[in-house]
Amino acid sequence: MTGTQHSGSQHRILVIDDESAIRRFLHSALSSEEFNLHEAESGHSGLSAAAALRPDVILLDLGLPDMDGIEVIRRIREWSQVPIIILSVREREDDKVAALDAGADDYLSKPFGVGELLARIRVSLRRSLTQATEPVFTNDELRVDLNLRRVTLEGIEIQLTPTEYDLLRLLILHAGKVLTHRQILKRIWGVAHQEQPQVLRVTISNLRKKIERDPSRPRHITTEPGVGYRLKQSGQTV
Amino acid sequence: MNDATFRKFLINVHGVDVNFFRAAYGYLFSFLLVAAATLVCEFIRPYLVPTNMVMVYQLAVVIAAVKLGLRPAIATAFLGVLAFDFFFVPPRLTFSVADKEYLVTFTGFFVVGVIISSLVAKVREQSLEQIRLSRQAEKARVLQAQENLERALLNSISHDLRTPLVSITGALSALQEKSDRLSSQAKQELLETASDEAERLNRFVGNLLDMTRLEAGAMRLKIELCDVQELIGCALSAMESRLGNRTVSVLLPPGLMLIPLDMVLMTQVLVNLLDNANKYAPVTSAIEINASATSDWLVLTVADRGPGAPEAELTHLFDKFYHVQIPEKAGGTGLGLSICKGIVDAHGGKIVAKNREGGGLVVEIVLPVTAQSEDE
Repeated sequence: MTGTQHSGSQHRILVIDDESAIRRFLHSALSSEEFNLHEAESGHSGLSAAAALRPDVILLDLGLPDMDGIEVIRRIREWSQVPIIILSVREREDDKVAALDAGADDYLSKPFGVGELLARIRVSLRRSLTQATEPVFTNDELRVDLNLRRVTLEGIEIQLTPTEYDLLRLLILHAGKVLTHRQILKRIWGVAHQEQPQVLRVTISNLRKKIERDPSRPRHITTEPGVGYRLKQSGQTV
Repeated sequence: MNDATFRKFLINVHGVDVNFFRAAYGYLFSFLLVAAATLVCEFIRPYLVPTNMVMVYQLAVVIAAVKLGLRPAIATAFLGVLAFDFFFVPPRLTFSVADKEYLVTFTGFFVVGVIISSLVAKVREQSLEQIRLSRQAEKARVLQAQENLERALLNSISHDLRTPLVSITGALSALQEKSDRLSSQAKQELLETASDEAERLNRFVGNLLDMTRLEAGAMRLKIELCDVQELIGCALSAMESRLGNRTVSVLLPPGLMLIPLDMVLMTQVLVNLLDNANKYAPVTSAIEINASATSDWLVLTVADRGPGAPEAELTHLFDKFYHVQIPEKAGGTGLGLSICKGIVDAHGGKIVAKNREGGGLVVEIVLPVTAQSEDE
């Protein structure tokens, strides 16, 4: 069934999941002119499929029978930067963080809808295809010009502290993708502050007060409880 | 001998030791009883003929029978005869007996002693049996109560699991089998039903898992300093589709400090409270979230304009599987609030429900502002 012809415009997606029902659902949801789906039902067969197929995106279930999902990520990361999206259940926040810190790009909490899945896949594909980010980021009324370091909300310029700006810029560079607390802390505050999430929380809170219309209902920077932060992108159906 | 069998051997030796000591203790005590009786007799010797001293020994036998059981009592009787003979029957301080009539006294004393012993032992055993029986009855009663509760839980759970499954299966089979005869609007409605119910099922399973983890003590808090506004934001975002157009007002004091809490679990608490308010309060009424803090406590409240709850039931709202009598549509499992309580308790906080002035329910969460030392 997966043996449809490879055309140049099709993106190859590799699903590594031991549940046949989930593979079946993904197959019918994703197989289209846009995507070509390949399946593996264990960590080992997934690793060899990843090497043989060179997929554009990997969907990886963390609960594989033969091998720890995080180990699968590490092995792939030894030779490839292919985007990896993890499939995991809600309660396993720590697993998700560990997988993201090990090099996974994003995650989806089971059960998930197709809209969410496609949004994640598209963000990952765009990231791997075009490394360069547009110099101007816009999301509804928020506009950030990375060249001029200029942030405006509904056309009115907003003053950010250097740290707030750096944080916003980092999120823009990874727009649509989740960043863990540790990843953000390391890049903005340095390795020494890696274990001090409260610095990050205070800065996020201040930043939201400046760029969100209602900081209690953030529309730009969303919190993924127990995992990290994500900058929403216009048109993103999440 | 390998390690395991050696350990077993030691346990056996130990077990034998314990039984041996218990028995030895019984016989030692009968010896002491006889010695005490002998001392008493020595004091009264100037005033009584030896035959009456048998009464004192008989008392020792009765005490032994009540306190120690059959065998030590018989031993007491036997020792009693010997002591009586040795110390008091002339010629004294020998076992020989000058007056052969004392042999009748000895026999009588011993026989009566044995009879008393066995009678007392029987009574003693009966009363022990009675205690055991009443303990068993108590245990059975507790088990029965537990069983009733479990049956109620099981009924409730299976009802809540099955109801959405019925709708999902029904909708899907309609689409599968009657697809060509359904209008596109009907198809859309069926799909929406199935997907709403699947979401409900997912939430219920999530609650059930949370409850199980709380009960098993497997819920580990991951306490971090958190922003209360962010916490509320997460809960509102999780509730977004369920809240629809309902107004939710958020009132926070400016400059609220970071509070040590488990973000994921506390978000769940707020989601459950909002979900409850959303279910019970009229669609047009607003839900209000308020936060305030003193130097020791953070107070978070979620208030609605629903029917509230009878005063007597307020404290039971957080009991497992408790439903206030509310029209059917609200449904729900009665798990949500007990999960809230479990999580808040684990934070060293308190959660209470009150009726609001002007109608409605307000649930108040009080959390310590300084981190609780967590016993891992």
